[in-house]
Amino acid sequence: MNASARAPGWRAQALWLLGALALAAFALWWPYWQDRKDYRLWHPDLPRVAAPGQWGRYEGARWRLVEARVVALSALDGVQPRPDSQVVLATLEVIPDNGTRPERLDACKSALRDAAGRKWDAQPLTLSRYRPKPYGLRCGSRLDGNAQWVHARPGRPFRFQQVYQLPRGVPLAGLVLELQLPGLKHEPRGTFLQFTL
Amino acid sequence: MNARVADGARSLLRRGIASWPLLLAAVVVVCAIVWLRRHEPSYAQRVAPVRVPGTLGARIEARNFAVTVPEAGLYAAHALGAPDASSFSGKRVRLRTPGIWLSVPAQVESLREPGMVSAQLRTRDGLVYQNSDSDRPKIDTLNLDSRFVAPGLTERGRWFFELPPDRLEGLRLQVYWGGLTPSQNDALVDIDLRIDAARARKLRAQAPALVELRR
Repeated sequence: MNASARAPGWRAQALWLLGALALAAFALWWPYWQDRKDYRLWHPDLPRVAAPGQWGRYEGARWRLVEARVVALSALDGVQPRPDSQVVLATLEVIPDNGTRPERLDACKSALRDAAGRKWDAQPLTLSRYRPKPYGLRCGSRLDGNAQWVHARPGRPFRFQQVYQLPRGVPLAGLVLELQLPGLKHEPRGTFLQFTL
Repeated sequence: MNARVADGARSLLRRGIASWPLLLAAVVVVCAIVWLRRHEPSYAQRVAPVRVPGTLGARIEARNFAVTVPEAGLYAAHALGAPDASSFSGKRVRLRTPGIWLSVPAQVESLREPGMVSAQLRTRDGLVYQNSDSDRPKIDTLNLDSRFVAPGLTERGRWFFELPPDRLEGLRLQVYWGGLTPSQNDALVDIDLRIDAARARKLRAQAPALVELRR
């Protein structure tokens, strides 16, 4: 057998070799992709960044961070925060699109996160008795002064507030506010809205 | 005809001898597969919590929390006096146990996100006793059970355990993230409480009939 006869050896097998390689790559990628999707259900990692003061579009509504400030609470507010902590009150606005129901917006969850990745959820158990006024803590509805429900309506801004408890001395300037709605219908799984304070 | 068969057999033999390295490799691979299958860890071993060893008095950092258990402050008691969990009138009750109460002081911190830190005691012979729930005793500022911890906001308090008095020797405190049992493949801080036979005897002998707990 001479060299010219041996040359086409692997080339003759190239087709099925390439097919096997493609199958192997797919076999690795597919379970990874599926697990990644499941992981994102509880660990969202696709931020949609809203510029400061600007509206951000997310899950059938537009959202805006109006302000975030440290508030001093007293026993009159129904809570007595621990002395080594500070309470941050954020005011936000939402304008639902046509077809977005207030109950859907009420499922929103938010948190503050610092540059090191530390996270503080809104409405911690220690502040569960605090009711900021005049806006409520729900993102799509609230009780007014006459104990009547007021709902977010399409095309109209609706204000709500979120409250957080952080260690005293953490500067607000380095924080971001993350907002998400569980069970996304319009956005890819793992998407959340991010505001810079 | 016979000569042709003999030629064929010789040819097969030659080819077989020529490919003996391949056969040997196949035997080695099969043996390796059998050995690996026999020594494969069980499902329970694969998902077991990851043990993080620690010592009394030291701050032990796990995946997402840190815990410090001081060297002093451990005590045993036969009953605890505490507010009645089912009453708003300030009535006090005596919390009895068929065994003995053991109270372990601790300081817990969350490193990344809010959540709960729980504890269990593991005896020398492998029995596990979960920390008593937040109603036994119902003192939020003292009982660490179900207490939320957030990053930078350290929580101090005690875990309370009920266990047989003869199981004190060799106890290990195991601390983990969450409110139920240790999570699969998550950190399990394991601290030797340094209770030898003499200390176990002392704890039992000096355990008061009642310890009154206050906020």
